[in-house]
Amino acid sequence: MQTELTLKRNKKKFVWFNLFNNIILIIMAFLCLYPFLYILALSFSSGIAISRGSVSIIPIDATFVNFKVILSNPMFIRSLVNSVILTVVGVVWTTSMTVIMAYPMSKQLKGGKVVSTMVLLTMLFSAGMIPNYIWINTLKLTNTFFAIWLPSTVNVFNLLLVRAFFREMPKELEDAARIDGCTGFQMFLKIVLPLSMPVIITIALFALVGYWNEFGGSLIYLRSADVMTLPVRLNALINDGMVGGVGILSPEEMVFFSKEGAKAAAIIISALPMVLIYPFVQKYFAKGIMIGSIK
Amino acid sequence: MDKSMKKKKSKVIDLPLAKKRGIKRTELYLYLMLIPGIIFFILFRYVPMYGIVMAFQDFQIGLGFADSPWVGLDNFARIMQDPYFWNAMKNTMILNLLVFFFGMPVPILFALLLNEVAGPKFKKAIQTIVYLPHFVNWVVYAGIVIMMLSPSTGIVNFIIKTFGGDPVAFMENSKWWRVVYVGADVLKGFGWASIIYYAAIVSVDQEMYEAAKIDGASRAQRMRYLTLPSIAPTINIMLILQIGKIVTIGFDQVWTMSNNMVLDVSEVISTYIYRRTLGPQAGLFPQFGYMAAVGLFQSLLALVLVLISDRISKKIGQKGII
Amino acid sequence: MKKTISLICIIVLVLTMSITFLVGCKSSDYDFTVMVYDRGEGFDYEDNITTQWINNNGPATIKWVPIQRTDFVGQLNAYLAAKDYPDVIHTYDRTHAMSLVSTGLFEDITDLFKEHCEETYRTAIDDSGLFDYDELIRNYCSVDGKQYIVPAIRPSVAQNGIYIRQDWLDKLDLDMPTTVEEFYDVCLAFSQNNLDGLPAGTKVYGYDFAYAGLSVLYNMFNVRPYPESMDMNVDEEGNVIVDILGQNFKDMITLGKAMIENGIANPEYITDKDGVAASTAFNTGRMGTSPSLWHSARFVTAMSIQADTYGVNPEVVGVPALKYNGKIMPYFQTEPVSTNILIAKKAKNKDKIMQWLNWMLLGEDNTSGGWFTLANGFEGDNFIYKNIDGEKTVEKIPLGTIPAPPAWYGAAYKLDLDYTKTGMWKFVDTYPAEYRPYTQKIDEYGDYLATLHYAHNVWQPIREAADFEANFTLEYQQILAKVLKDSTYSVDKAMQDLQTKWNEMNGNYYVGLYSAQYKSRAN
Repeated sequence: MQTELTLKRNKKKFVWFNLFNNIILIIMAFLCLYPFLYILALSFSSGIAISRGSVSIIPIDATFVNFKVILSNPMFIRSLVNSVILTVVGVVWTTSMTVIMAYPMSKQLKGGKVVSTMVLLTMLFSAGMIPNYIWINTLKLTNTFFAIWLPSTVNVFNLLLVRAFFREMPKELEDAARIDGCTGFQMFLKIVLPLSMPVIITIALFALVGYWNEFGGSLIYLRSADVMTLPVRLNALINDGMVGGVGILSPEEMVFFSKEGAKAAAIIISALPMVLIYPFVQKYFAKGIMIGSIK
Repeated sequence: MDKSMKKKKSKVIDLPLAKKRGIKRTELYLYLMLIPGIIFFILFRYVPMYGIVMAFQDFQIGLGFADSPWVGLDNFARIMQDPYFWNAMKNTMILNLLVFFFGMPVPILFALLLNEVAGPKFKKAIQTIVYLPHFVNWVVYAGIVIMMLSPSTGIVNFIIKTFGGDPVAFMENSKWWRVVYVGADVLKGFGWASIIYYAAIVSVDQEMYEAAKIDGASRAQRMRYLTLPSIAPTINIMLILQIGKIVTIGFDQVWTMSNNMVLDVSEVISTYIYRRTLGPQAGLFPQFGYMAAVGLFQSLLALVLVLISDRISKKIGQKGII
Repeated sequence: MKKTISLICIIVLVLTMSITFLVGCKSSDYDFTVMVYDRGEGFDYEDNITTQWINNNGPATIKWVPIQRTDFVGQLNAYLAAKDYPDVIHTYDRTHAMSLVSTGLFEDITDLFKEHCEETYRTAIDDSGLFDYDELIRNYCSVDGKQYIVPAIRPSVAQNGIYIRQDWLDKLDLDMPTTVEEFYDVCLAFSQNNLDGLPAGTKVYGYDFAYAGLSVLYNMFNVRPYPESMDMNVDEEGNVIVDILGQNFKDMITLGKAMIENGIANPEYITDKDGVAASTAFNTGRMGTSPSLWHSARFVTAMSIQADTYGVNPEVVGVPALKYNGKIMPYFQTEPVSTNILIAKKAKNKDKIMQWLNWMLLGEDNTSGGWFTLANGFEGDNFIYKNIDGEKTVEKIPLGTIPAPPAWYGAAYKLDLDYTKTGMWKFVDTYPAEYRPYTQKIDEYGDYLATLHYAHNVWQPIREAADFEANFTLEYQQILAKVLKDSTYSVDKAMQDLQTKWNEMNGNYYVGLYSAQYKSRAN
């Protein structure tokens, strides 16, 4: 039994600890957030302010010219559109294919072990960057979106996640449906799918983030300007300094323009979609990972 | 066990043919559903493995597999002698180790601290914020980091200058680059990685905590005997996975953060291969065959390591992943 | 509800996939494909005045295929690997062109060229008085007697030169520098005085290493940095000289290092790959000299803005080639064939291609070809003809009614499919007579011509050396950047490290291969 004194002492420790705890958490959160605020400030700042290095968190000599240059660059816009196409189609494709494959794998089927092994082996060994490249080339898929969609059809981790979820589904549901006369694919569509919405949405969101942020593969396979996606275009802009379209600025606006500002603006535009979406979907992610981790 | 269960299920009338093969008509649709997936795996995971023969050729794009000259194990002999390869291998392992040592504790620590927070709103807010860096890609994040560290316009050097120091070109300095790399990796990923640990922590029955509190266990004791063991299995699995992956490193982060000035520490195997075949240093005669050999060497090494670590893990009583 | 969602998803999937298919298999109502550089710029390759004009007025309909300019060799490799490359390709680097020829994917156009182009080319080239047609074709366009390359020539005075603010020199009462040392002093003075009166604290530079800056520097000291570049100096016996291990390179990096240490040049030049930041600085009074392409006067309009904003009187002139160790170091000029155009074997309408190239490059009377419109725009809108000294000359109308194609290479420009752009650009390049000196007829600058260093780019790339060249170049670039920017890394140490690396990697052997090649060809 604790005396009043120890209770009080514990309470005091409690308060101190909590404060300390929260401060550290706040610092960590700040470190995550600040870089983005900084870039945001840069993107709205004038060239001279930037060159003096005096931008810290708010824009100085605020201006829109950086965004004007980036947003009126048709190549940049096209890459944005390409990313959207890549992502939308890719998400539908990957999600549906993963779910379709996971379902039978969750049942005890003849030859199921073979399929599982085949799938798991790919986690241990892969052909490699160059053989894959040659193969995609041979299939004449280079410079098409299929070079990204097809090799990403099924992600093993997601597959296992969905399979685990299906396995968890109570057998009684299916038995009941069968008694009602519903069998086979109908049962899958009408009963199983609607109930698996949480996990489906989860892997769809994984796919969403994956496709939108896809860089390495796009760098190798999507080189033509008509299929180039946002990350590749952004990379060319940041690392190779390919900032074009400065000519649309009027001379007065030119004074405010700077390459750093343009880079910052491009970064903001590229990051914006994900930044806007993720707070609303984080609960799905958390749930999905928890399911997966338990498995 | 399976067979008896299967027998129980066969209440429906089976097609004679299907019965012969042991496939029930009702289950036919399941096999059909498997087919696209199987095709995918074969077509895009197994078939490309054929390309591994390139490692034994002096592969030239114009000639293809059929006409490129064979060099047997020459490429592999060359690997042994190639200082650039070993440098890349060294860098790969060093970066992986650094990220592991500094990156592993942070999400755990974060999860632990987060767990101690009382207010749900505050907790949610913090969580939301720390997930942010995970959702942007490395092109964006590396771009941000590079701009923040710019010697002339970056905020970090601005602060240094204000305190009277000289600006440091972090991204171009071999000594600092690794620090920046690890720091960026940790900052970008810790929030996300903490999810798993946090899930494990909260999966522990709250009643146990209460009971422990009543029994007089201090906060530290509660942490040691309740919290940590709950995340031990997760840590264990992570460990196994990491050991296997020590010779592999993702392309995106390294590529977007590296530049020509720090190649001695930033060149890793994936960028080493890319740079000389499809990248800037591909030159007039890209070395496809040799690089395929490098890739193969790396994959085999990774495979061996995973198998070893899995066996070790099983030997010391923990569950493996195979 | 869920069913409708999945139905919608399927419809979206099918729709987008079919759209992508359709977009991919665009109608093939063009005769052949032509490469154009993708510089990430703000315009559409298909939908602009110039490309449409070319398609409407030329002898063929073409489709443009943009390929990224940065890391161009690697990008093109990927296209070649996919066997999906444009029918007409061009490259500025002759060694690259030679290696492309060696892939066997490009056509031997000896006969085609004779049939469609020889007559007009011969006249144009001989008329220019600069080169001999047969020699040109033999030395620069052919391999073993077979012609592969359609030449495009750029007889400007020099590829890279230095522009300087004469008014700043006047303000500081300095003479035009004639030696390298004087140039350094002038740059230093520029960087220490805010001569345009910009807001206090604005950093003013004297010189910049971005884009052409380093290559001008190389030239100043007669350094040909093999293996970074395939242009090598050769001694009397035909042996390749390794400049980067020599005294001239040492002097060059000493100067460069001093420039950065004393605030004359911007240390962050590496990220300014296309020199936009540098030229912006020059245009806005934040830099005193501009090492740049000498055949374009991009700064003119920008300078007039500078004049209005700050009330200064900018006067930009070219710096005559400087002396190093008492000898004039001529500015660098690419070899006579500055653009190497190759035609793919797989191309379908080769006759049409030749005709089209002929039209683009030369036109009927050398004034109405595709290039002319690209360089000057449309009569009445962007320029008018004037009679100066009995000769019909082109006078530009500033800010014409239709935005004109930017005249990157001016009157001397013959062909650069690179710059087939308009529609989005304001007319920023005017060519008033005063700024033409460096793009004007060569006759007036005979002295310069005599001392021009035409690139010794007659090398066949050697496969065996490829690995060494790739690896050593990376090391070299690292050392170079370090010695310029890192104050703790001394010039002597850098030279030592270079020598060590060179020996380690057996550089002399590979250089010997090239020497052997040169000697065997010198006959």
